[in-house]
Amino acid sequence: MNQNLDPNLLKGNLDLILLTILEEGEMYGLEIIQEAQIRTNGYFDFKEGSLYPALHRLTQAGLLTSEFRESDLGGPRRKYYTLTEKGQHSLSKKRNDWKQFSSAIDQLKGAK
Amino acid sequence: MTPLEQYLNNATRGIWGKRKLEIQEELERDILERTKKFELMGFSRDQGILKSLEELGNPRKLALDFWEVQMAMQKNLMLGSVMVVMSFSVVTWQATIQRDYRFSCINSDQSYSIEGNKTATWLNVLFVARELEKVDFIDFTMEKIKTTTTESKNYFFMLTEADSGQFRTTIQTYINLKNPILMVQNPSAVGSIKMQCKW
Repeated sequence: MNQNLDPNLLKGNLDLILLTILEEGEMYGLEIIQEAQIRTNGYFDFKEGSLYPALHRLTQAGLLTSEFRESDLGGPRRKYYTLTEKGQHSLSKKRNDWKQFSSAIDQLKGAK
Repeated sequence: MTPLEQYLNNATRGIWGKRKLEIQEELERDILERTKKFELMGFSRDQGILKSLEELGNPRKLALDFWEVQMAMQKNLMLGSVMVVMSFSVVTWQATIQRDYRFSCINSDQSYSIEGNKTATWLNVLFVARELEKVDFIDFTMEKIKTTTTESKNYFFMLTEADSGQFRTTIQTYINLKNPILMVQNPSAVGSIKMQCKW
């Protein structure tokens, strides 16, 4: 993980990050980690396995669906995650919340 | 047991059934792909696996996170049950959960010494952490204890070493999760102790 990134900030916005990545299409766990890293030039470099319980929680909440598929490498299957319609709505709401929050912080700065 | 198997077991402690197997499969797939990356960097397969496990982080932390998701799932299932089935069925479901959560047995493989004060009445949980880790107690710090059991008190017997060198049952004690210290009431003497399952 980026050394300068506050872990609480990441934890508080993990759902938004995961849903945003999965908006592009179905992916499996390690692919999501790599995608986050590539798209943010390494800013989100979360290698830890904590991603998986978060994916399971979002699936449980109905925001994602998951499906095991055989891997082209053989061995254990890959588990793919897909954003649901409910997940898309949740993502839109989280984005709006984030924009409002960010805007409020900017306004605080401008009020000085 | 290989380091990979050990990691998968530790990362899914407190989870059971099909879900446990699926989590293990998902994590194993991830670990094997990370290992491939390390092999391409010149590490051996065994080294690659160890480095991959290191990247994934503390398996007990993972187990706790997965367990929290499972608890949330069960709460939802129970709420759903209350809404759609007769009360008799709900009671059955609750009973099933309760049985699944029953505290696992503690039987220590080795003895532990009680040193110092002859009338020692308190034994820090860390003292027997290795035994507790074999059952449902999954994480320890100096101040707190994490567990997958919902029982507030978990009972077992303490065995103390008699003069003959034989261990004998002396007291029943428990771990109170609100106060994670083994309460040992009036141990017969300074010496060695073992734990024995109460159930």
